[in-house]
Amino acid sequence: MPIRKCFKSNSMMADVFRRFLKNKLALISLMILCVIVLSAVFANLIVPYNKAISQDIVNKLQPPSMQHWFGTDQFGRDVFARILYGTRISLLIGVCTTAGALLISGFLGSVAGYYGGRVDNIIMRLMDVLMCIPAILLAMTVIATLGQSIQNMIIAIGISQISGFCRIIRSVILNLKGMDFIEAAKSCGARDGRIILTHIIPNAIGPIIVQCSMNIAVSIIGAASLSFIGLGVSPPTPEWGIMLSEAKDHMRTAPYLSTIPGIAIVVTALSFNLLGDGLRDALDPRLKD
Amino acid sequence: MKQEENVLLDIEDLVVEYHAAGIVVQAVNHINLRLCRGETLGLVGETGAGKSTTALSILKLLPERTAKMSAQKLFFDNTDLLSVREADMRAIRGACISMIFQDPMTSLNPVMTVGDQIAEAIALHNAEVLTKQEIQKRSKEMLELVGIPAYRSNDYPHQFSGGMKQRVVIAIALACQPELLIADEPTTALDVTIQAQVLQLIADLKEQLNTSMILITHDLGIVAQTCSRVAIMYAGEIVEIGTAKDIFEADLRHPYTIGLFDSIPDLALDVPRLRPIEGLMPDPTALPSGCKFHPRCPQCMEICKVQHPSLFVDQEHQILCHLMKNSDAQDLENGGPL
Repeated sequence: MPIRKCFKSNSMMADVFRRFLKNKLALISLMILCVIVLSAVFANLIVPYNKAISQDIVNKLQPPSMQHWFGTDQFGRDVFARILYGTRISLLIGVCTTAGALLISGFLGSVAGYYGGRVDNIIMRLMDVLMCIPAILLAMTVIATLGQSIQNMIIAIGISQISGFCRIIRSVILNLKGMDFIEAAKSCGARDGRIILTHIIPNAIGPIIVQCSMNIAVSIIGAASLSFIGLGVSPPTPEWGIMLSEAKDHMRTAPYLSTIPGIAIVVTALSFNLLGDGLRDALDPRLKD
Repeated sequence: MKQEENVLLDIEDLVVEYHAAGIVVQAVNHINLRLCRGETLGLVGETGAGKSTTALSILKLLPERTAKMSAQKLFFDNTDLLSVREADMRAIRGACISMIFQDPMTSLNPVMTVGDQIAEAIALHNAEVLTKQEIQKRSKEMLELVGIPAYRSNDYPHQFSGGMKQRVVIAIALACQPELLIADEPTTALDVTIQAQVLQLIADLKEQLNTSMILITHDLGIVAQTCSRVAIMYAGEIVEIGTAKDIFEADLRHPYTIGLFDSIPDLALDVPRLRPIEGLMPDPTALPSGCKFHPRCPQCMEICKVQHPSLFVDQEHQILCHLMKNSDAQDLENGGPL
């Protein structure tokens, strides 16, 4: 059936994908992220883990060479291996904090937005309180209370992100709640849970995906800064923030030691941000060409 | 005359007020309405006359926080809707009473295929008796019924034109074969040629499924085409109700109805300019005393400003105006027109 074909080819997701492909910057970011994710997943196939932690004082502070692509640090550890394994931690923290924050604030935000009134007021005022505390200070307090570990770092950064997420989700849902198709679903006899799950969330997914990808970037930077001030994961775990912090004593003699982790952080964060931008443009039907 | 057992919807003394920020909006003021099985009632009035509010209060879908609704009687098919619990009301919505909304562009979920949306309406009320395949099949049948080929059921709303979307909306509304269909300005957002098609479709399906209908509109042309009875609403009141013949041709008519007809351009008559009704709808937060229409009425009398008119009844034709007097009722203090 030829007619059928020409109608079928044009679904919503296909449209989104086509618009996304047009955005070259976002496409490049996506490719970079793919490389980063793959190298994090298959890091042990590229370099063995003990290269990232075993010390080799004889070969310390060597500049980049064929043997050590990114040079070695003050303990003679291979910087390339440390960057590679650091990616695992950064991505883990970025994805886990965002997923956690999304779950909690998704629930709080949709309840506040959908039911409104007193519930909305209580939840949003709590979020305001949370928002008043600077994110890094909040994270430091949580780490100081719970102790230093990757899990606690995820909890700490996650908590500091709930309020912003919650606001966005609430506003998206508030906007959708007024749409006619929600009223139409009610007039068909659908109950609240069903309306939220089948009508509101699929429509809110666009802005939420965008926010998530931006949020991962913020989390990665947050994790690096916590490690930098000594509150993140503990040495000798390879982590970008710790690498930066250790490199600051050798800034003059071995600038590559601080530059390379810095570039890793910037490239990853920037890629997530640009991907988010691209997704926002692609998912917004008003920008339909 | 109507037989009692044939009455599907019986509303007595319906009042709806919106309370917001200390202001009270009197949206619907003491409405009485009866609808028989298989009948089509046109509800006509300007924007803000309370037509949609009346429709939503039948479905009990008024915004909970702001709207206050009360009535002497709100019976649907011998069920008292006033005392029905919310869970039972959900079972009534869609299955027994369903609604077509004004704007098909926004009343479909943009991220669900139209087939799924029709299937959802069916599944909500038949999930226990029908299997998934049967629901899908019914959904496709409904699509065919409104004149859209079944293979398009996997398409998304944005792939349809406005008229097609409204057909989908109609398919959703009729999916469970409701006894009462409330169509809230179903053709306002469509252009004229599509309007005619959609109206014809609604009328055909209504005949086929023996559905009663309340057609809300501000277009008297549509009313003439489709409705057996017509109610004219003004400022939350029904000022005139009767058969279509009464409203369009009777000698005695409410001045507001006359004004509405005079506002329609007529090719056959050579008038230099249209005669619109002077002034604006009264502010619903501060309705005028007496007859609500008196500030704009060309035939306003002294009594109109102070006393609310009583209903003039001539068989099925009822008018809320001081100009008409029931022959058997004794005239009140002031007597005839001044």
